[in-house]
Order: sequence, then C-alpha cells, then structure tokens
Amino acid sequence: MNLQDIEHRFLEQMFGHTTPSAESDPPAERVELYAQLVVGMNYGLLDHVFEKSFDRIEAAELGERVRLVRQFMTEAPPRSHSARELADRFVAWLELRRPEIFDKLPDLRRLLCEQRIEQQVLYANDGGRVAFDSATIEQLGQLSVDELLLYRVELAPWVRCSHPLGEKRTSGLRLCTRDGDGFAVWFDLAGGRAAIAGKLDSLDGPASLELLAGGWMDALGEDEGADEAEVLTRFLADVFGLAGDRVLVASEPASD
Amino acid sequence: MSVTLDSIPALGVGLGLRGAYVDDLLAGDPVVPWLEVVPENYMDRGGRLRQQLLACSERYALASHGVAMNLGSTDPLDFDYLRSLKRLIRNAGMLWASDHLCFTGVGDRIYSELLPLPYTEEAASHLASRIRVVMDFLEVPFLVENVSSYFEHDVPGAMRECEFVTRVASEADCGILLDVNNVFVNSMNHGFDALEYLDTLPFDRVRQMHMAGHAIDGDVRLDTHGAAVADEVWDLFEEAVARLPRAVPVLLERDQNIPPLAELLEEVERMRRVLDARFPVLAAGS
Repeated sequence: MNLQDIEHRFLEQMFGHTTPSAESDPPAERVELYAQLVVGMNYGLLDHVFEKSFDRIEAAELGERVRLVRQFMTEAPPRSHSARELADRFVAWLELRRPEIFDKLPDLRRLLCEQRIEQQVLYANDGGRVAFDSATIEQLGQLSVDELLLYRVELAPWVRCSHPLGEKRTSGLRLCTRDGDGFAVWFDLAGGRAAIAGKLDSLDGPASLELLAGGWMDALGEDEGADEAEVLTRFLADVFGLAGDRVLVASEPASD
Repeated sequence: MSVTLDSIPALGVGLGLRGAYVDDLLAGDPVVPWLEVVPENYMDRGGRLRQQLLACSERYALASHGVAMNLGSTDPLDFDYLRSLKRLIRNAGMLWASDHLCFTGVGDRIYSELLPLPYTEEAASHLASRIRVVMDFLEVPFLVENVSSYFEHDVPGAMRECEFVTRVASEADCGILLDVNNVFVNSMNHGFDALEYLDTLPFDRVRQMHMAGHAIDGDVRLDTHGAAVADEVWDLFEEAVARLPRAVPVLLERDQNIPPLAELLEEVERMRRVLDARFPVLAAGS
C-alpha cells in the first residue's frame, strides 16, 4: 500500500467503515484508542459551543453528548480544521439524522442557532479595522451627531461591543453574548434595525460603536427628561440606518 | 542547513500561551522569557483573543506551534491555512514556527488529531517536499516535532522512528523540535531504547525541545499534557540536553489539569537549572 492508501484505510477503520483484516493493519484496540482521541478532541470543541444544548438533550434523555459526537464523527466527519465549520456541520447533521430530538425539544433549534452566533462573534475577525484608542474616543465624544455621521461606516456583519452586557432582547435585534468578564460581545444585526438598551461601563478593550455612543451621550451632558436607553437607541438607529443596518464604525473620517 | 535556523535565539525555558493563565502572564513582570502559541487559536480571529496575543507579543518573545498544517497528508497543502498562519506570524512578530510529523486527515475526513504516519521512504520524501514548500512560504525558521503514537504502521521497509525523523529533517533541511516526553512515551509503547533514539538524532538540527507530562492507561502511555513531568522524562531530558551542541529554547507544555502558574514555574525552574548546568556561559549572562 502506498501512503495515500494507508492514510485512507486507517481513517476508514477508525469509525468502523472498514474492519481491520490484513495482518499489517493496526491492532483494533489501538485504532479504537485513536477514535476515542478524535471524538474527545472534537467533543471538546463542540461542547465549548453547545454546552447548554447538550445539557438540554441529556436532561430530556434524548442522547448522551459524547455518544452523539461519536455518531456525528462516524456519519459526517469534519472536512476542515475550522471550529466554526465543525459547529455548523454538527447542527446540520443533528437536524438530518436526529430529527426526533427537535420534535421533543422544539426550542432547541433556536438555542443551537444562538450558540452558533455566539461562537461566530467570539471568533469574528477584526479584519483591517483599527480599534479606536482612548484619545480618539475622547475626541469623538466631543463631536455632534452630524459630525459623527461624517465618519466612514463600513459594512460588516457584526457590530462589536467590548464589554459583557448579558443576553438581551429587543424587537429586531438579537444580542448574543458570552457570559463572564472580558469576552468581547457582538451584536447580530442580521435581523433588522438595531435597537439596544444597555448600561455602558468604562471599558478597557477595543473601542466600539457602543463606546462611541457612550462618549456622545456624555458629551450631550445633562438632558433632563431624556431616557438614556432611548437616546442610545436613537443614536444607534441613526448610524445603522445610514449604512443599511449593518455597520461598523471605522476609524477615519470620510474624505468626501 | 538553512541559515535561518541559527536565528532562533537561546531563550531559555518558556510556557505555552493558555487561557488559564494568560492574565497572570500579562500582570506584573514577565515570568518566562518566551511563549509558544497555538496559532489555530488566533488565526482569523479578532476581539479579546487577538488583543491578548498582541499584548503578550509586547512582553514576551513568541513562537508558533501549529497543530493543523497536516504535513503528512496526501491531500494538497492548504494555502489558505498557510496564508493565514503567515499573517499571524508576522502580525504577532513570532520568531519561528513548528508543526508535527503526522497527518490530521485526508480527503473528506479531517479529524484534528495527530495521527501516525508509516515510517517509509515515500512518507519521508512526501513530508520533506512539503516542509520545503512551507519553509519557502512562511519565511521563518521552521521545525518539525516528533509525535507520540500508540501503534506503528506495519509496512515493508519501514524505518525506525528516529531514522525517519532524521531522514525527514535532513531531506527538508529543517530543524527538529524534540519532544522528550514523546520519545519516552513511544519508547514504552513500542519497546525501543530511548537513549538509542537520541543517539541517532542529528542534534545539530534540534533547535527547540518540549517537555510535558503523560498518563498511563493499561499498557499504553498517553501523551496527555495533563500531569507533572515524569521522573523518567526528567532523566531523558538531561540526556538530551547533554547532546545539544548549543543552547536551545525549551518549553513546558500543559493542556489539561492546569495547576496554578506558580506550580508550573517550579518545573520551568528545574528545566532552567538543567540548561544552565550544560551551558554555564549563557547562565552567567542571564
């Protein structure tokens, strides 16, 4: 056998697609050990994303998480090293091969969706965008809304906030966050216009639209009768509206 | 040999960059001279993870230690992966890069586990040709690591593992990242003499070493990185250091059951003493 044959044969043996038969085949118990390592590795990645979904499936006695991952590895093995693709593929497999789980847990589909978004926002790339430094933020905070709107906005699937807000819901906007201090929080704007109510604390992470808005609100000063959430909502709605509901504030003002 | 290997500095003993203690690494004075980064945890990712990496790059020397290059696979090299890796290496100022002598998948099955290759001439040549491409592309010194394994492919004309590693590194003209724990684990799993293994390796190509703990499961030693370094591995480490013609960076790996940083630093200090005893001039200057 050449190298290619050896590699394919080993992987086929690992999840029972081929039974070791030739004398030169690796011992079955050692092949099984590698299968367990593969399941363990991929289970770790999936549980990191879908822990709450696994909890619900197990609580409903619809499957044990490691067994589910093993079945997934057997029937629809990953085609890349991407943790994001692994999560997407797992959900697609679950829908196709274990529909009874969704029959009995109709809310699971939504939970899986949110957890995938949560993973995407945690890993989302900053791209070439430059985070505002504190001096820039301070400067921007002194600007009027009209002046702020002269800044170039850049289409992007996510708007990032740099501090944990916890899970919040308003009409037209889904917020998916990861609990715990220090994780970046991103907003999924795919659903429509932005609306947000959240208390802004001092930040030490990358600058964000929310930070900008906070600076703007501070610059407004005392405005009797103004509800902070309403002011922030209006600010964000204006900015989002300018760029078709999908914006990320860039660091340079538009030249034209 | 590629002249760029000589640009890997003798940094002493470092740690893997792990979320469990990254805040400790960034607080106060640096606790070790350098950190090893698993690039797949940061490639094409932003936000806080990226910020932490860049903050570390300002305080520590960094090296990349990949797990997904899939060097031994008969699939084509993944240039999207390599481009992303190169971007990260440049952005974070990493001094060198490494990956493993294994495959992690082929065709439509990518398992993200370090899977053993047959120790054949064909596999050695295949690896060497791909490593040369990788080195040309990445433009940083590149090392390959000997992996732990739980069986050896029984194929005609197979070399011993130590001969295979030597052959690949020589043909590719790359460096070797010698994982001392893996040598010990494999010597127990496959019944070879670990010292003979070391005697076979071209130590002029060894430009970094790994140390780690392992577990015993029945008749198998498992490379878990989940325990303190075993006594036998300490002994083998001293043997390996004695064979080094030059000081090289050494790294303590710990990925499971991660203890408080202070406990890891005790093992780091023990490694440093072994290195200092072998290379006292460097120790005096440090």
